[in-house]
Amino acid sequence: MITHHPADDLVVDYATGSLAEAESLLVATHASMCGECRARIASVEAIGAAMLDVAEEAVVSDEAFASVIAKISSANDDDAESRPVVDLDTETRRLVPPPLRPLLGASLSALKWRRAGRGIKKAELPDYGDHRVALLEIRAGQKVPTHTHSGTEYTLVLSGAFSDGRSSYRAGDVALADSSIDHAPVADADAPCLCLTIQDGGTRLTGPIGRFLNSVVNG
Amino acid sequence: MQTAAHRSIDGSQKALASIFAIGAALRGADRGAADAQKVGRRSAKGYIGSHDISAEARNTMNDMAAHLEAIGTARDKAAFEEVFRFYAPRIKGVLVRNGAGPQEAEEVMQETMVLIWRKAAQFDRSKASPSAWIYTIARNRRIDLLRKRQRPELDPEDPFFADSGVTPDGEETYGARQRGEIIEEHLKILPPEQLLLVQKAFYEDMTHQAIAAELDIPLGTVKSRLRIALRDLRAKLSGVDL
Repeated sequence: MITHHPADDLVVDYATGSLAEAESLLVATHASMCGECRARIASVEAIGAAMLDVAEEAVVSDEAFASVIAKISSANDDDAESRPVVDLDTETRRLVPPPLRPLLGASLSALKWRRAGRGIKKAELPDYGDHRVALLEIRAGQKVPTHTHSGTEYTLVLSGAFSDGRSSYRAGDVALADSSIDHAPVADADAPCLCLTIQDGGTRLTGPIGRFLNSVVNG
Repeated sequence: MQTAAHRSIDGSQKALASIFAIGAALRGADRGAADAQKVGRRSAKGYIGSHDISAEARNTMNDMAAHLEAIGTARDKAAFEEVFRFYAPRIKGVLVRNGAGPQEAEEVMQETMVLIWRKAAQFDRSKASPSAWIYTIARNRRIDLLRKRQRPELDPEDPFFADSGVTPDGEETYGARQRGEIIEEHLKILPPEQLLLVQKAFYEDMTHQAIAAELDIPLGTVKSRLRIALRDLRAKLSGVDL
């Protein structure tokens, strides 16, 4: 039972196509796990559809039609998806929702995991828009040291569960943390907790010196 | 960032709630249509009160669904031409009205039409109306062209969804594909300035702040107009027992 959903504005912006890239990734990945949010998205899309029905018609030339016909008649017209196909193992496909898969580039077990504290492993994924994306695996029962965030961080639980003293987050739940929140999440005792984290970088230094400093500061 | 701007606006939550309410009602109409076709429930539930829904518009949606199916199963180019004649000017119209340049509007429209051809086999009238399906394709195509990366997309066919419990929300109340007609009638009687705001909120990458700047009216006015527009729209829709 998913109880922590993305906020309404994120869902509406996702459905109308105006949400920032990294947040779109969050909403799409969450909605893959959440029928309720798929219904919310579809509701907003229904309005977009109705507006398409009543849209004022623009002039479309015969050349445009001919051009489209030429494209669909060309030899390489088949259902080939342009999305890169990544060969992922069964476990990865069970745990990682489809919208997130292209970012992995490899199965979970083949990612570059590194230690990020006691009982915590982290695999950095490619930056997404201006956000940093990572997978985090917290050992069952492990407490994450008290910390805060310089920017905003979304955490989506992919499997397992954690609690932060105020709420419990289970698979599909979204937690939002920012600098106003000082927390020490604890993974549930019965299983490791796998999470997607999406973090806006706050101030990021991009020059050669800055990159060095970032590597020191951010580990 | 846009979403932060949204969050900071008082009352935007209410407007957002209205959006969900209207959308859910419209989807109810869609599901009603799909169910009616499957089990002949149309006569049991009847039409919306005394509302005189245009049979012509209803037939258009049924025709478009059939055309998409013909494209998907038989690569039917005559059916594709029908879909093109109906949707291409509307897709382009929406894009142009929302500030896309003529070239961009033309490009997105043409690519959307090509994708409609390629993806038609995925269209399922029990899941989405032709317009809703096409809306999402056009929306995603425009985003993909604006960005280098493809939009993270929900694929309802993915087996990942199999056990994640999609339950339709609420009972449908309609017996036909009346969604377009319903919204059209109610959008028509909205004051023009409210209609403009609802449309802008939907079709543009614009925060309320940006709308205010473009229309040169105070932000508070944008908020209240948007709120009123959505409330009125919802009231009108609920007035017909949605």
